[in-house]
Amino acid sequence: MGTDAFQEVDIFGITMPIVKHSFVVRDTAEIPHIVAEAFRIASHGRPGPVLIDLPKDIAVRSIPEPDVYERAEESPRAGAAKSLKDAEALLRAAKKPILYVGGGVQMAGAVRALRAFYGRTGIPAVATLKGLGAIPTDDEKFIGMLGMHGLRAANLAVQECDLLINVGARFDDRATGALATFAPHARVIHMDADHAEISKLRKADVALTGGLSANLYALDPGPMAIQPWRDHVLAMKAEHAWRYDAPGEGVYAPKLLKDMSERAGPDLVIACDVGQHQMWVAQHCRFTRADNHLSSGGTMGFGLPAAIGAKLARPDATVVCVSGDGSIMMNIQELATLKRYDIPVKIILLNNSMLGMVRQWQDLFFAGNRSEVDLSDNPDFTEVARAFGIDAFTVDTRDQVDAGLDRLLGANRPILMHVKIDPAENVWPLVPPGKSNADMMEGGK
Amino acid sequence: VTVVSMPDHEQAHDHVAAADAADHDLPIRFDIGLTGAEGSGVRVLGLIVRRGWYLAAAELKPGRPGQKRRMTVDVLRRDETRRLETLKSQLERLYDVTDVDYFDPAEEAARHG
Repeated sequence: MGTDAFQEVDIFGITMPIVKHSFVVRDTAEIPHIVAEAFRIASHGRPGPVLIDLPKDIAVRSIPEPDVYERAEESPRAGAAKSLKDAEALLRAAKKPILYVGGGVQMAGAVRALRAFYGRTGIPAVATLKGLGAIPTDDEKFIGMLGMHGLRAANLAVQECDLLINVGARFDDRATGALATFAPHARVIHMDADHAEISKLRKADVALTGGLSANLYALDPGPMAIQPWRDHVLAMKAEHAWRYDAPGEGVYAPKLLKDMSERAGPDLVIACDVGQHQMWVAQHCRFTRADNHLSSGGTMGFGLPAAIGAKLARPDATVVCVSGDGSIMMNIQELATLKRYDIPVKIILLNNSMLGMVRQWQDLFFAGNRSEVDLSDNPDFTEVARAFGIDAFTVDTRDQVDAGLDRLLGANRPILMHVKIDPAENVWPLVPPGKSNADMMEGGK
Repeated sequence: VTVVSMPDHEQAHDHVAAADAADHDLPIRFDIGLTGAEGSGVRVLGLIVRRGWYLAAAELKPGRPGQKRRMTVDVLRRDETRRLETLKSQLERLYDVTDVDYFDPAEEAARHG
């Protein structure tokens, strides 16, 4: 290594910023230990990728059958008793608490503990994009997603609350808007398996590190007198509920996604790409499990491979990849994988002939100065799919949606539903960059 | 559009260095224990820079492959939102870091009036 040999790249160095840890194998005798350690590191605490660089000269050697290490399972414990007492005191004093649920809940395997805590306290909840489904999104006291494209009621509830219980969330800027204005009246309890997240962006009044499950089961503030607050939050939720009465004959993507989600039933996994369709999925689809919503956060091309993985892991679930015409092109060759292994993933491709979210931002925040967002020269996606041997059809008016969903959901082979939507459609509401979550822009048809 | 000539590298560097150094206090010294795993020093330095700190100085104590080693790193904040405790936690969660301590001269001066 290090001689610029044929096809040599410094994969160890290139990947260092994006992995949790990495190993270079220098001796075959190290392999069993390194592999066992790699799995332990990848799954311990906050999960993350571990790279093992196996140089060519090591990879071609023969070795005797190695020992296989048994991996000890670790059960993280609850935080310090004093912190738990402090948290319970804050909970008992709160008149307007909100549970702020992040993707860390599912990663920590703490969904059951969260639901138990939510059930016994009755605290209304909001979730980040990655936290959706940890509490069923159709539950009465679940308000919705917060943040840039969240439900207005969710953002208002957070802005008004006097206690914010952060469970596995990071105070990410897409969730908080301008950080200094976020939940301005709230004390903060922050629970996270990763102690480096505590007080990184918002100072915690009480920090609960250690196992999320253990902390959630241990926290018991007793009966909470918050019925007036619950009523207020539920009234806001009703007042700001999504509307689906968009005028016109064209396909209204939020309504299509809502209908698809309702028809598919609770055992529906949706894998998204990135852009407007991703936000519409988060806003309008129902998630009964945290691992029913597979969304990368911000990596175009994620959706189709994620859907393939989901279908292989849960063959009995209905798995739908929702993508856009920009995103699908990032990994469209995976249609070959669907065909090769006959994996019955269903694809909804929302085609607005645009990089829609980028176009929306250029229109709203860059004086309509559009640059490199026009995809009107897209290929015919149904022909592309057919060329890969995948069944495909197009829906381009509203009255075709029902039949299209019937065909999509009824298929037992891979299938692509190509949906033409209005290139001018925006995702609403929207917290403008650098603004408070209280200042959501509204628009729509 | 006005076309101007590029500043040479040294001028540009001086400009950036002056901006970085402005309004900052004395460097904070981190004392870091490493397991001796391959790449550990580079991983620590990379994390510090990526997390928004300016690397003022670094020293890796002599050692052989696989041996435990110590490293001292002097850092400056690039902005006031960066917390020392957060950086300490971020370093501590690296697999190949055994322990982290830091000395902040400003904090020490404040403590002693």
